[in-house]
Amino acid sequence: MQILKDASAASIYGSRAGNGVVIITTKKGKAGKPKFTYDTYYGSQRHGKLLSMLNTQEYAQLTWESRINSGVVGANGNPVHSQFGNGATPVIPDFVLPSGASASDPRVARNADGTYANYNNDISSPNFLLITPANKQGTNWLEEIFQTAPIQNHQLGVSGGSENGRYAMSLNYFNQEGIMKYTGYKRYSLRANTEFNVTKRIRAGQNFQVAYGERIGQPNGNNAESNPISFAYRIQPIIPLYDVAGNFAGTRGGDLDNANNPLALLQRSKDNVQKEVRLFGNAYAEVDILPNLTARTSFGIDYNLSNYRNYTIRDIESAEARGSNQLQTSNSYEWTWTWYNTLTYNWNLGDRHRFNVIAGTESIKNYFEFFDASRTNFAVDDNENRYLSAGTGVQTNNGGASNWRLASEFAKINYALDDKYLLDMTVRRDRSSRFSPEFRSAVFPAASVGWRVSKENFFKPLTFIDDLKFRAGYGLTGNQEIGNYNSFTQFSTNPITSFYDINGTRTSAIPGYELTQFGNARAKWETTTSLNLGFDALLLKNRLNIAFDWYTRTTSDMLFPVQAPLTQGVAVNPFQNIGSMRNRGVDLMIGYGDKLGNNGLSYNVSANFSTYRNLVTKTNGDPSTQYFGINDERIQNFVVTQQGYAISSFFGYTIDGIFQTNEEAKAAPVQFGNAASENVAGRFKFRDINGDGKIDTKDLSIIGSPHPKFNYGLNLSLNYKNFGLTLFGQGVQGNQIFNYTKYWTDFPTFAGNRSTRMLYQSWRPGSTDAILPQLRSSDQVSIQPSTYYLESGSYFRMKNIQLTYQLPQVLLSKLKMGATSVYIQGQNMFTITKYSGMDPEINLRAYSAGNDRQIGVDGGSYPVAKTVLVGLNLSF
Amino acid sequence: MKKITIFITVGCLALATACSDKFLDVQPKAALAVTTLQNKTGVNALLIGAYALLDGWATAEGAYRSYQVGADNWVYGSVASDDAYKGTIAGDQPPISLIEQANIQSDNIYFRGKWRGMYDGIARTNDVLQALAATKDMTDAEKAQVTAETRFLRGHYHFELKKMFNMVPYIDEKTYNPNDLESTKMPNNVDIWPNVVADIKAAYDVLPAKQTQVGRPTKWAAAAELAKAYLFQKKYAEAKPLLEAIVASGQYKLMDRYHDNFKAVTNNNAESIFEVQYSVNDGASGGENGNIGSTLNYPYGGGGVTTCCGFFQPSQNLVNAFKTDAKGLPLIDTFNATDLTNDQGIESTAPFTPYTGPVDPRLDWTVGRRGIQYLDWGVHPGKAYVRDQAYGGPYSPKKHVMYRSDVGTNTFAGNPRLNANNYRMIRYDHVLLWLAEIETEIGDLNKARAYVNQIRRRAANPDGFVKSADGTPAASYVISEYTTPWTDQAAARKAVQFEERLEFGMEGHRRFDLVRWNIADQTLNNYYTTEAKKRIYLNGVQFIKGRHEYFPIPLQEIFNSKKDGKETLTQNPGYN
Repeated sequence: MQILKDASAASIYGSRAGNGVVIITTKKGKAGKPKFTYDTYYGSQRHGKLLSMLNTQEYAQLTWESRINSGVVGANGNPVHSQFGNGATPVIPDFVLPSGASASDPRVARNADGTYANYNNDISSPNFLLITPANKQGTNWLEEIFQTAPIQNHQLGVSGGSENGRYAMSLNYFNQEGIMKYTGYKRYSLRANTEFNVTKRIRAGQNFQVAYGERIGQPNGNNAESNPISFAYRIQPIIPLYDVAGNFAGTRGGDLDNANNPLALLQRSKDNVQKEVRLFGNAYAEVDILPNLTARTSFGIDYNLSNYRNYTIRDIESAEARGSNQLQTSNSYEWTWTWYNTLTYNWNLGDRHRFNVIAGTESIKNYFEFFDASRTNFAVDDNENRYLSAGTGVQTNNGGASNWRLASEFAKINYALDDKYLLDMTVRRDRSSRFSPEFRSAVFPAASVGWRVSKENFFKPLTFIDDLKFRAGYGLTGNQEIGNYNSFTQFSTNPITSFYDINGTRTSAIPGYELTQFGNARAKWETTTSLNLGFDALLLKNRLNIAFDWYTRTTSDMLFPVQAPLTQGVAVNPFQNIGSMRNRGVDLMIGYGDKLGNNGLSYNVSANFSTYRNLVTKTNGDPSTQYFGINDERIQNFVVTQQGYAISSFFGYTIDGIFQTNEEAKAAPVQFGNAASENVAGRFKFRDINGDGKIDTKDLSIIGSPHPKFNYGLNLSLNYKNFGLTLFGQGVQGNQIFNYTKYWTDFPTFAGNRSTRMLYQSWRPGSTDAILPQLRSSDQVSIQPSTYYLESGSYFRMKNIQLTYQLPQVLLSKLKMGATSVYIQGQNMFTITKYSGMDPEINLRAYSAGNDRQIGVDGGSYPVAKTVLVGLNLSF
Repeated sequence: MKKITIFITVGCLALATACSDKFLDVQPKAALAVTTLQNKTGVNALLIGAYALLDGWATAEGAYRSYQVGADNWVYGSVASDDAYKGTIAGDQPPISLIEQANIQSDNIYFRGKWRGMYDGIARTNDVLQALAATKDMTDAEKAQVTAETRFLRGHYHFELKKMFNMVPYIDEKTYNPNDLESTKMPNNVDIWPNVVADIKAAYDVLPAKQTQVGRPTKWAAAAELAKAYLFQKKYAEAKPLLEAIVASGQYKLMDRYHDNFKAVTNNNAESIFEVQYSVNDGASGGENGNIGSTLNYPYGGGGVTTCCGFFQPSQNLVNAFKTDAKGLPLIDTFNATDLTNDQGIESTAPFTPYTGPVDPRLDWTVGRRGIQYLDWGVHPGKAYVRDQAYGGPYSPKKHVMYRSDVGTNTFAGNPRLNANNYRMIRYDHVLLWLAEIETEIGDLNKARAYVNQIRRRAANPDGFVKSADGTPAASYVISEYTTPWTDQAAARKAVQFEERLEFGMEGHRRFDLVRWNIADQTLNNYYTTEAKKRIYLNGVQFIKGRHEYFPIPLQEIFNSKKDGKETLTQNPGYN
């Protein structure tokens, strides 16, 4: 695996290399006897830190305190709650359904055999009654949805060949059960590659991979308010996992809010398997036209098939139960072919000058098509009945397709003088179907120079330097991630959005058309111009190596899906070129390796450090223009891109603590036009950003950045005889995370469970160290996007620790075996962070490519697993 | 040599693919360019698309939800008035609580949701008119008809914006350019009443008295909508002939039974002047063409009628308004002095006797309350139907709710709350009561009284009373006509306005009516003071005159209105 960051190195890979290139070279056979390998590992994964939520008693206490503070009380001056009663203090009932029932309640009377006489789970019956005991201690829902789960991988390979043909084949089985119960991923794959010398001057070969995967994902997707993780922190602790009959318990019952039982959701989704078949491969031929002129053509195809039957079982135990069961079946396929042709010429002029010239073309064609259909009202939920034809209720179907193409030509010259002076020049022209014909074509030139100064004569005396190379590169790359049809203004039809029952039939609607995408025919390639300077050095007899790079990358004509004003109507917003931004930074790697004495102990330590500063340097039109991210949350947009700030900065109010006294509060600017309610002790003190003497929407400003101050990594490896130990850790420092889960856990929105923070760190008279305002039964002011949601995202994580034992050669020879080793590995063993969420390593949110304008927003994302593996690599 | 030939051939092929520009021409799938729609079929399809937003709603995206744009304006017209509470629990849909508590901020997503729905409707009407202009296969008469319907819709969508936000930009097909996203960045510094009137008037001049498809507006629908626009401007003289013409047409009448205006099986009846058509099981996967804007507004948590989500609970003040004196006349000035007894704080299992005093029969078609038949769902059990009685009070909404007998036919198979009980946007009873308003202001008080009496006479039809299981009236329904001649204009005005409240309770008109009658501040401030004794969260709530008559322009839209660095939209007075 090779990573290219240098500007000119990336240029040859064209439009899709804007962020660097990772080249993965697959294993090839070597001439000789067949060589077999068997690689396997087996391990166990578990979750890391979970959120700290309230138990039943604490939840009741928080409810009482909130209601009393807000005066939401009954006639006797005490709060009124279906579960906790109407007393001065909350009383935890024996049953949550019937609401707040005690064990002596006739509705929960028991038969002689201990079963409940009135229990009836037929929702269509007038006597429908689920009986659910209260979990008086409290259910730790997050603990309940996670598990310790096995992971295993087996790979059997064979490779070999002769002078005229080489082959490599492997068979792989991978099975990962999810740390979230009932989820997982399984894959079987077969890989083969062969290479032949057809004649002395013609070579041909292929590599091919077929994989079949089965995925059971987290229902309702990652980072979503209705997925199991969100439900696990939203559902109240008083609800148990199961009701008295062993069926799933839920929020049916008074004052239990509206979350779903996340365990039920997972269990009921366990057979919703996403099946994927992927065929991937290419064939090539190479001809030496002249001894140093080689032509090569390669044709590759990537074909994906997917089938997904997503069946939803009724959740009769939920407060907001679904009316029917439902099956949705989705099928899709996608193919991409790539035709790549090059002509390579190697040419030496005397001993000193070496030239390597490549010219080539590349064309890529992609097509995707899907079909899905759904029905409701299945007679039984049996697995064998989960096919569309068995549904008797509402039927829907949808289908669609998309495609894109890319055509490129490129040339590259490589020149080396005495292997001392190196020059690389590249030019590439890309044309993309994603732009209108006028703006389709773009040329990306690049050049880099290298000076191996250690080869100079004057360097000879400096014996402690073994190798020193200075590098400089300059080049352009492009970005075309704007969706496939950005230039087209499109109209389409959809029963949901554009049909209308103009005949007043009540049960049928006439199809209509609507504008669904605004086109921007004037969008052009986003271009990143990079300049990098650096050196690679090897010192102290190759013991110390240092690589350093300084770079500045200017992205011009930035493509951004600008929000159109709604006066324009509602349709997909096209990408527009909005301005420029700059990323400037350094990457430094220092490594040191040596032997310790002659006892076979050697070590290698290396560290890398990188830092960058992102700045939006210019936006078209006015500098104060703000480009907002996608707003799919329940609060005002909190991600903004604006000139003079880093891209995707956080936007909101600034909070300067909490008012300690009414006097202090009254003296402060009136907050949101409501001094009576918001300028009193115990409220957040909002900062008057614009200094106009009042707190209102004009005080929204940029409050933070998701970009780190720096990233770093540490590698350590120790080898002693047949033992090897490697450690790899990485860290991020100085970034902020917008912890959106606090919307649910730290403020009185809905009536779900809350964080321990909310109970114990809310303001009470005299508590100067409170971080949250005084508890209220409803508080729409404190919940607005603000610095309260921001947390430091810094962390250090031990990503990998591995201890390997190589079986001794003597033994292997006796057994006629090749290199064989066993290892034990720990991944993500510990994380040092102050971040309160489950995982500071927040992935970019799962928006479609190029649309992602939110960085570092935690909506309850799936945490990274801690894994311990035992592995074996065997060859013979 | 042969190999070189092969190489050249392959090379040329490679280049041929790569160099041909045709290779790079792709077309969107299952989507059309506007040119394909510039014909009769296309224009009619675009027009249907423009109708499709009468329910305010296309689809969920980001933070937008259907309940922000319900055609019945339940949040803005009713919850933001003295008719209803948000209901449910404190923590659900908090932005509505802010509106209910007059904590009205420009970043409230609800305002942007309503703005979005209406301007999307406007854009769709402009798409129709632009395509129509390029269409060649339609007769002038057909074009005139399409133009008239389209302008009716465009006028209506702007009307909604006008009554919500007051100062809003008017967007027509000359301003709007779908290929220039700056084209509609128009300032909101001009009163758009003339534009609204011009659109609806253009529709009125052309539309036929009857339409074969009931969903399309007739001449009389346009007349009523136009008159309504005049009433909002207090142009009584202009409104009067339009409304009288509707009466004179003889095409409409009050239904014998008041509640036939609130059930799916009597959609598009003789009283309907313009309805928003709802349909279910029509191919929309989630029942989205049903009355989706009301999807939260059902009793809570049991199944059947009580699924979700406990919102939109009638206020005690509204319930009290239905009390009558012994003779059956409303207690216009004293109705709120004592509360109609209710089951607040009483478990459904504990005994309770409903109020026995005289009430207007319309109460029990407007409000679901303990001890009274809840449509055909059985007797309302009180607390068991309510999500959090301590918070939201004891009542349930009723008018938009499906009947049990609708389930399966007029309800969506996946969710019975989505039903085909149309929202009657304008009815004949509106026409009569608006005429009563007009007569009160510029005409004959006793003509006004006669109009009001028509309304009361219909309400008094015993056939239209809510019945108990044994067939007897479910409560002591007493209602009579005003028999004493009206002599005092102020008293008459109050009586007419009170009648409108009773007739149209929970239908999303109340706050807009209070504002156009110039009595919003006193009415609502009285309400907040008295109602705070029952709903503690209304403590200290205030309607601020000069500000709260209109809602704020959505903050994000002001941000997004920047042109050359300057915001083209200006915030309404008192907001920021």
